[in-house]
Amino acid sequence: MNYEQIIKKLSQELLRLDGTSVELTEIISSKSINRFEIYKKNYLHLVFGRLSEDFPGTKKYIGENNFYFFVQKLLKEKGLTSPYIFEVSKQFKKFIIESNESQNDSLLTELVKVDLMWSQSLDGEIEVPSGLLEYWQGLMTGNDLNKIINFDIMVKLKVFDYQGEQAFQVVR
Amino acid sequence: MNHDKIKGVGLSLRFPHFNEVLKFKHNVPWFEVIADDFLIKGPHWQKLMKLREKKPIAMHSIGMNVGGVDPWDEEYLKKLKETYSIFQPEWISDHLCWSSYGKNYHHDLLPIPKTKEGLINVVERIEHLQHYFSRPLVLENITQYIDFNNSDYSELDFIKEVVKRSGCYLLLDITNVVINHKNRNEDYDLFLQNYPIESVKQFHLAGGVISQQGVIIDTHTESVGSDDLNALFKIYKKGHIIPGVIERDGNLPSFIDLNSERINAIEVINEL
Repeated sequence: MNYEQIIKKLSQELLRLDGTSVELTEIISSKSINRFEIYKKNYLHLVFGRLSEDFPGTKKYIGENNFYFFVQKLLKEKGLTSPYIFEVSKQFKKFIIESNESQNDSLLTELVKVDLMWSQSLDGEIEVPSGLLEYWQGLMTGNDLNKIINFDIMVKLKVFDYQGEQAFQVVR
Repeated sequence: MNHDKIKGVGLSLRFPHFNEVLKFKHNVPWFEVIADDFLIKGPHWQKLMKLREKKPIAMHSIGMNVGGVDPWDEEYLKKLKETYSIFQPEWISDHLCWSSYGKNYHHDLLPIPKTKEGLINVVERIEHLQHYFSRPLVLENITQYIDFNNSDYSELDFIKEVVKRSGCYLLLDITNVVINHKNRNEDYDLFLQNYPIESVKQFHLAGGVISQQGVIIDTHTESVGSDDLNALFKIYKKGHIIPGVIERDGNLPSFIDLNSERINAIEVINEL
């Protein structure tokens, strides 16, 4: 195996999140097979940690196990396609919105937009259903959740700086 | 490069500490920041500009893919170059590793097979980067949890050849050396005694955890261990007073507490 083939094989193994191929013993020592799992765990841990920070509302809404499911699914099906780790959150938002599992959950596909805009202080505006911001605030603070979300009325949100603190503003 | 500005034991600086670093008086002589965090203008961009006026900085990156085989990510390199131009770090560093293949970015520091082909590849890529950035690279030794079946060089010989052929400098991560050797039940003192210390611009110290399998993992979540401090002391004792930083990425204490840890580390080294 030449150098590129070794790198390619290791990369493919890293992307396979479940188990490690015995073929890897062609490259690394048999003792190292178990230790190779450390890299896989690091990879998953890094992405899970990053997305947990950037999607706190989404994580609380669907729960840790479901959130973990989506993170694993993203890595298995798409991998990470950007050299910038912060881009994984944009990739995750798109992935959730397009995912089969979220097609019957409009709240989920809206929450990921709010989370991402907040965590990355994105410029511009997003359109979300009326009442969603209050629901998201409830998730973030642990207060009662707003149950009145009207998907027929859309409002525009933007992030702004209020006396040194980041805040959401409903754009009229 | 003006290396005289960077002296002593500094800190790696992460976003949660920026406000305290700028607000309070402290004696941290210099900071290392992650270049990748400043490739776009975020809320900490201006803070780093302010810090740069007060303290020297070095910029450490994680995505150059020095040991990789993919074509260069021109956009990433361009952004790095612009960032260096803006913040004027005293030096720029990355890792002696690969991190992506076929446009799949692993966002991890993966070990280079120490073969003749691997050496030629990495040297060519370092030369390209040094030409592109018009300055030498400072490259860090990584934690390596696996052993390759076929190697033409030991890690030490590989590093020496890389330096000799490319003219790059080194960032000696003492903790990575200690971890690698402890995980293999080998002697890290011998490794450090033979390290090409004259090419080392900087050191790293950090703290890791022991996994359930008994493997030490370089997590940067704990205080620096006494063995690591002792290893630095031995380097200092030989007259190699290299500057460096304590790294902390997780389980982050307040800046004041982390600075206390830094001061304690210096005191421990002085008392040895």
